[in-house]
Amino acid sequence: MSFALKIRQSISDIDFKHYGWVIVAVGAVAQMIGSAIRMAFGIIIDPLVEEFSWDPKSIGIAYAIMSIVTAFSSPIAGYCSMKIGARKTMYIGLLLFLIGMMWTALATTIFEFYISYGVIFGFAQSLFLVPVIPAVAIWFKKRLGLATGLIIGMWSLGPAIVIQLMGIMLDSLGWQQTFIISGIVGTIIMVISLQFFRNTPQEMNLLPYGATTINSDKNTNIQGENIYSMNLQKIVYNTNAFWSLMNVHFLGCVGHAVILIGLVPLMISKGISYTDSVMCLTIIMVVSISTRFLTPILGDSINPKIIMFLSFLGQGLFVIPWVFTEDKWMFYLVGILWAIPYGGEGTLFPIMNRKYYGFFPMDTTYGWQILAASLGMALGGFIPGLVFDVTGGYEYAIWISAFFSILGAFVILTLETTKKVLRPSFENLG
Amino acid sequence: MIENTIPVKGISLFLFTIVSSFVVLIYFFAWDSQNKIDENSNYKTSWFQESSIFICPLH
Repeated sequence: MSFALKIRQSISDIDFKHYGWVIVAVGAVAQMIGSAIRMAFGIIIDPLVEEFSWDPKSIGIAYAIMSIVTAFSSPIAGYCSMKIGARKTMYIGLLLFLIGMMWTALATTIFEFYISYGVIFGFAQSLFLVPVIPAVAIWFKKRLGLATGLIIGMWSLGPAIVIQLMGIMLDSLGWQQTFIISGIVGTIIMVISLQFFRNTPQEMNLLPYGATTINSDKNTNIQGENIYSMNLQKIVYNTNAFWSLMNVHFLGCVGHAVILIGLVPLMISKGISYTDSVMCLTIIMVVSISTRFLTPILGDSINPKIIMFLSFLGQGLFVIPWVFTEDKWMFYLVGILWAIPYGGEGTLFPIMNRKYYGFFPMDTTYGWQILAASLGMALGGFIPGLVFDVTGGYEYAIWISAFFSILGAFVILTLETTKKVLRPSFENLG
Repeated sequence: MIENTIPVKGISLFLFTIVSSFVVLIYFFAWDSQNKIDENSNYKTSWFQESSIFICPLH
């Protein structure tokens, strides 16, 4: 059978009538709304400076507070999701999202802005975003790669659409009205979407996608047997893979955050115009959408460890030519090459969790991984500015990015094989 | 069978990463502080800048 025929056969085998795809759609909407406001931060800086005469650096502190709060509350969000269910956790996140948006719009002092945008919105974001992927994982025993690929693809596409809409609203309505309307519309969309959301297939008397038998064992009652989940979570903490996957997520995020923050200034420092430099970043974002979508599917069907290793290695090696490049087109070419592994680098964690821990709620584990990733993004975002202050250039930052990504690839090599479950899962504990 | 072992390899690599991150930060902070002191001999260093120079063996 030819490869194309195999793919066609594989697609035709997918049962799109299964309710799990509704959960994927709700998860994608949640990702889109939750991440878009974060990504839109850049477009509200100028209006805030104009209206309140706040220093851009002080406004930037709100973003830093939000990132730190999101990072440290991610394991809490994962724990809540496991304890009370993803749906209730997301409702709490939604309430905080609405409060955060309204308060931000009405804030008149920088301190209020730190609390509303930094603390409340930061916490809302983790409660909103962390439970999504683990919830989807509970719905899919098979085809988890496709399900997560669709959601992770929205991380790039969603903000791109919402930022454009917010940009138009900012021009015509002002930033306060934009925040109020976005908050209300986002909340209404999510309340409607969450009506269709169910924590587990058992709540609807359904089987997870790809499961063939109903296991009547009490252990399969995932939300009802939280004590069992918590005990099994303690076993997860005792695996090398838990620590190494957190480590790898941190290293990968440092590696690409340096580039995402430092590439435009690097290109400008080499005499390339601002517009052309931003275009390079846009090309990277567009190209990476494809690998964000495809990598979980490939990892699920081939070998996630190898795909993850190649992604990290590629992310580390393909940045090096930028140190020596002076030409705009070479920047673009290297950008396209780099975007391929960059897009795939962060998308395999749900698949790795599944391979190592079987069909087990991954909420808390995933929460810790998001904590590591967020800290990595914070460190990576800080490095280019620090390096520029010292050296007057960004070349050292590129080498640091390469070092962290390649170190990540090395840590992946130390991981156990993904061919067998490391610890007993719900299926094989009786 | 459920085992209760300490994941030495995973934790060691994790600690190595934390140390590496601090090494990078301390090196550049020390470099930055040293530059400022070299440029202006009256420059008043903060405890943080002094500490970074003290810890970094290359500055």
